[in-house]
Amino acid sequence: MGAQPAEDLNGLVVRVDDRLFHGQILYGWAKGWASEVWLANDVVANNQDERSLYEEQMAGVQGGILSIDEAVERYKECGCKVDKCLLIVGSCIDLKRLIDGGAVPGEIHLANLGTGEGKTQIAESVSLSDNDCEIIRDLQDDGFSICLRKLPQSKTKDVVIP
Amino acid sequence: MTVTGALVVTHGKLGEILVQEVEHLVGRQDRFIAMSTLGLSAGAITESVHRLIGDDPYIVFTDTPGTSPTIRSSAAIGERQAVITGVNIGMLISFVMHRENVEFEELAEKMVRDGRRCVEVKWARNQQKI
Repeated sequence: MGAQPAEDLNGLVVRVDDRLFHGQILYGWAKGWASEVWLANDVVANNQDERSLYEEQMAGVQGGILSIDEAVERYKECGCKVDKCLLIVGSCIDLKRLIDGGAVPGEIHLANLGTGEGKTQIAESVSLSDNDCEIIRDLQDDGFSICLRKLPQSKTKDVVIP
Repeated sequence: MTVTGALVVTHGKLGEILVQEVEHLVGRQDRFIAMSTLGLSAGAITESVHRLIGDDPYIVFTDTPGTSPTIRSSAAIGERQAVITGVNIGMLISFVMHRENVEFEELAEKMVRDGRRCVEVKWARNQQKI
């Protein structure tokens, strides 16, 4: 199916995407690269209607739904040993909670973060608030690799905070 | 009885073009609208769908199962509202023709049947099937 996923893409990839689980994840990542896909989101994990909706959509995909705390527990245990695991969070705030809790992603991808009042657009589908920028800058200072990436075979670009 | 409306929710401009092309074939329609999910978060898609359809009878037509137009529209609907995936022009023409005289539940089922009828293979007349 066209371009192949980058060979150096392994381990735990955390994707920040406010569309949560959607077409790019299903067709691009779950069918194209990942051996596991987890959606870490407190609203989805704790609301039965939302949970059922995503469980139905993720049927047939190895992985499932976690709260942020559950995701922290899971990836504190597994560390960097997991192979080709995609973990989706819906916001930079959730990303910070995940990493502050002790999860250690190999890569962090910013994929879709919609526009809104007071946000600065840094890429086609990524807009960040001042707080988001601060979170990303702190993580970069701590040595985390953060890039813009939509699909496993996409070219990546390092995130540069204005 | 309020006539059932159609909201076509898709990736990019697909929905807008489907509505435009159907109206090109059968004329302008009331309560026959499109919405793109481009640039919208999961929550924003649900809010936009809900804002457009309110509590009125509506069928939300989406392009593909398992993708955000379908997932987030499914979270927005209530009574006498339904999401139908795999929208195509034939399905929408059938909707326009039948929405005023077919009951809601039957209309939704009919859209699925009539949409499927548009999917077929044609072979060249002089070509044998392999």
